[in-house]
Amino acid sequence: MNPDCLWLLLAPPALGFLVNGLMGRRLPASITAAVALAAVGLPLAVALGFLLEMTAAPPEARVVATSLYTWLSDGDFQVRVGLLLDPLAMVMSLVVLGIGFLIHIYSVGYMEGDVGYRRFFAYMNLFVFFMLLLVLADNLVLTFCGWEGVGLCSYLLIGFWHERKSACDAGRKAFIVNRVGDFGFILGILLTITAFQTVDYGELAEIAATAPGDASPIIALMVLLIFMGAMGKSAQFPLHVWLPDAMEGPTPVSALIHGATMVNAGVYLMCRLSPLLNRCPEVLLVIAVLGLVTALYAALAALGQRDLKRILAYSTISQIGFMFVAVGSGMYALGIFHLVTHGIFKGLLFLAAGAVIHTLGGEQDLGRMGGLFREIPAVAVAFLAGLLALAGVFPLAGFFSKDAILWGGFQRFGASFWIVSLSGALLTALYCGKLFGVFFGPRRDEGPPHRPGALLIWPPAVLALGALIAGVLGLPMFAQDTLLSRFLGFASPAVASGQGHELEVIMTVFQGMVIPAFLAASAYLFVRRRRRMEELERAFPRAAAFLADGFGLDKLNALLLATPLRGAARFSARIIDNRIIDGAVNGVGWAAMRAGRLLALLQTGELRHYALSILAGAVALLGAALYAAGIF
Amino acid sequence: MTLYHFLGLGLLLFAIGAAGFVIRNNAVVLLLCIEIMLNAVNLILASFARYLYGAEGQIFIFIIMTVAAAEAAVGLGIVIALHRGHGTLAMNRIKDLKG
Amino acid sequence: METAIFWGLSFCAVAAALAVVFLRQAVNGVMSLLALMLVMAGLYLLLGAQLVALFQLIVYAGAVLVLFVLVVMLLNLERKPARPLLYPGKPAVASLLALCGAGFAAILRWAPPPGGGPMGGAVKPAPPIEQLAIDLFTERLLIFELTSVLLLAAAVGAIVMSRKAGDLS
Repeated sequence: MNPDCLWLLLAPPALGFLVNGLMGRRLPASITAAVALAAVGLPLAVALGFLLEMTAAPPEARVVATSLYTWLSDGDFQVRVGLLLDPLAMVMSLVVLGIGFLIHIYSVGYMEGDVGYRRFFAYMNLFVFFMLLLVLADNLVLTFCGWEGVGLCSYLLIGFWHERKSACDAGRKAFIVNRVGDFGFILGILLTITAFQTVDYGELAEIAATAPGDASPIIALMVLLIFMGAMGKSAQFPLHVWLPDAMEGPTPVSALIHGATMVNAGVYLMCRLSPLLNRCPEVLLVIAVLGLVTALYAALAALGQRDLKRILAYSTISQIGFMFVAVGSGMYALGIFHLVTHGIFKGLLFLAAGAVIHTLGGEQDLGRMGGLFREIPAVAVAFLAGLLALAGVFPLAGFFSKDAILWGGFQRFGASFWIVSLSGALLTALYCGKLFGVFFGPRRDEGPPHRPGALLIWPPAVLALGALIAGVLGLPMFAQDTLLSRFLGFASPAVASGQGHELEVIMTVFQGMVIPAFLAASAYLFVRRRRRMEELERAFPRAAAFLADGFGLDKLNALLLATPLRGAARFSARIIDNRIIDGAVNGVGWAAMRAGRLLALLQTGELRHYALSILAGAVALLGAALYAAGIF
Repeated sequence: MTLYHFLGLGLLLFAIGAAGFVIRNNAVVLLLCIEIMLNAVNLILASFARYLYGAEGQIFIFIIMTVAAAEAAVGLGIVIALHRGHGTLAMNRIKDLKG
Repeated sequence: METAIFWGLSFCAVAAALAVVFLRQAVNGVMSLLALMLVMAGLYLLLGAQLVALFQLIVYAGAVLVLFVLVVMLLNLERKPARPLLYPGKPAVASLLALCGAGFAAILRWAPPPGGGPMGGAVKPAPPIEQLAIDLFTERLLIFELTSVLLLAAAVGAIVMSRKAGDLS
């Protein structure tokens, strides 16, 4: 494994962005697409090469690191632009590049004929570049650069159709909400720098291992602040409000944000800081509880959505919540496992949803979807596979990861925690069942369907295959070191292993039966009794709207934050700016003008007046000099 | 004949030039008056060189002569421009600087 | 002998200067200034500054005044100017003449005795021309070079000032 080749992972997307961004106007669409695909395909090949070498190497030799140059240097404190490819970064890179590559292929078909074709691919490549930078950085500051870059790209892509005001608003909302989280992240980085004089992950891990006990509160505060950033980027309650609105972007963008890149960043960062997290169990508890709240809340909100993509968006929030539950339980490998499986089936769901929306000519309202199985069977099969994986039905990918997370939470936090998280999983099954109505039952759309082309079918099909087999990574079941966790090699906090295997097996079997049962019941209700369900929804309009608005959190934000801010802004604009500042500025101008008018009287325009005044001045100076010399 | 005499003569010539600059109306004559003043200064410098300081006064004179030549060239250019712009050289009619 | 020459040249200089100030026609003024320049050259010779006298003739009489004559010709200023003086003529003439008389009287009245004090100090030996050249091209070289820049700027400036607006030839 040659560290000098690491930059090969980063350079192609950046180059692709430059080529498409700077010269795209002159290139035909086919070349734009080819450049964009190559920009993601090449590093994918490089990453696969690294993976082969890495699996062959012994566990302790699985780290490739290189330092490109020193960015900042202040005495002992240094920030290097350094890349670090360890198993964690490897898995993340593969998720980003693998799913990202399929999304790029899909976009070639999906965005065909759009005016912003080349702009779209330029942004997509930039997005992948920043995400890779985030993942491969070997220190917090460089990660933050990638972090902000991803935020920028999400803004650009969510607001991609910038003629639509709602798209612009959604882009701004994503940016601003992320800013709130990043505020914490920056504070966390600054605290790290002041407390430990380093931002390097390796050195931080050493510090976590060797620091004396009284350093624990500082570490806890630091991690908590950085977790605030992770909450913003990974859309955790209450900083999740941007994600449902982010559906304004083109569907491949949603797939990229949800499946491959952005929302995973927070989970990745927490895993990256696992040596520090292990020292502060209280923070782990906070993370787990917040993750659980988010999982439950978002699953409930998903149930109330009427828009196909918004259901998926809330489901993403909910699933990321499960990932944080895993992280908070100290099972970092499990969090990453769920991240991988979720990346696959959520990417799949979005791509397939894009194909469905394309078939219906841009219709996103669930109420107008139904019976599409016969029209687009390939897409429907892929979508249903994704739904089953999301709900966690054996033997699809989601079953393994979710089961392990539930067990991990039970082991660490006890039965009540398990019950709540299980209800979250059951709610997941419920809203998955709701989506079955799209494909079965009577047709609800009018007009002939636009059948999607091959480019819209194959990427989800490949991902569906992935959703079927990704569970292999979690084998063997009921064991601490699965395939993936052995590869990742995380150090977890010690777990009291009091409960035996039998309980775990019993719970797995229980969940494996209850979840499909809920899914089947829900699917039955939403396919066969769909009209009844809709009548039910109409009977309680306020409750339905409450769910659909995500518990009215946006309104709460507007009331608590926007209204006072707007008042203050108005006061500052009308009183402070208009009266005081403008008054002062205009007053100065007025006074200067008056003084100028007065002084202008001295300017007669007569040359001899000027000459005489010069002469008088010279005589006066001469007289003063002679007087000073004592001549008279 | 002493330094005193030359200084007196220089002062007198300077006074005549300055007075002429104030009382005459024609732009060309104003330039001539400036030349008188410059020459008066030159005379004073030459006499200082002669009676007190040696060579340096003469070098100053050369420099002043150069400045005078440059001043005459630019000044006459201005006179031509004035004449073209105002159709007259009477300074009491040219008051572009009035505020 | 030198004293007599000084007085003669002084009267000529003052008379020429007064003529510049009081003659109506600009061209007459220019000619009077020419006379003043010649007289000044004589005064420089009297002060032992032969080189300055020479330059006075070449630069002033030869170049600058020719330029004046040329401009007066060019602008066709022969016709009678409407108002040559800005102040009533006779009082001005009288007061200026009175000033001159007072000046000469003052020079005579307070003339110090020869050899007494700085004002009546002894004559220094006139510097040889080599000394001037060495001074000018070694110690004062920077000033000398700066004057060349000044002349260049003046030449360009004069051209810019006197051409018609928008005429780039």
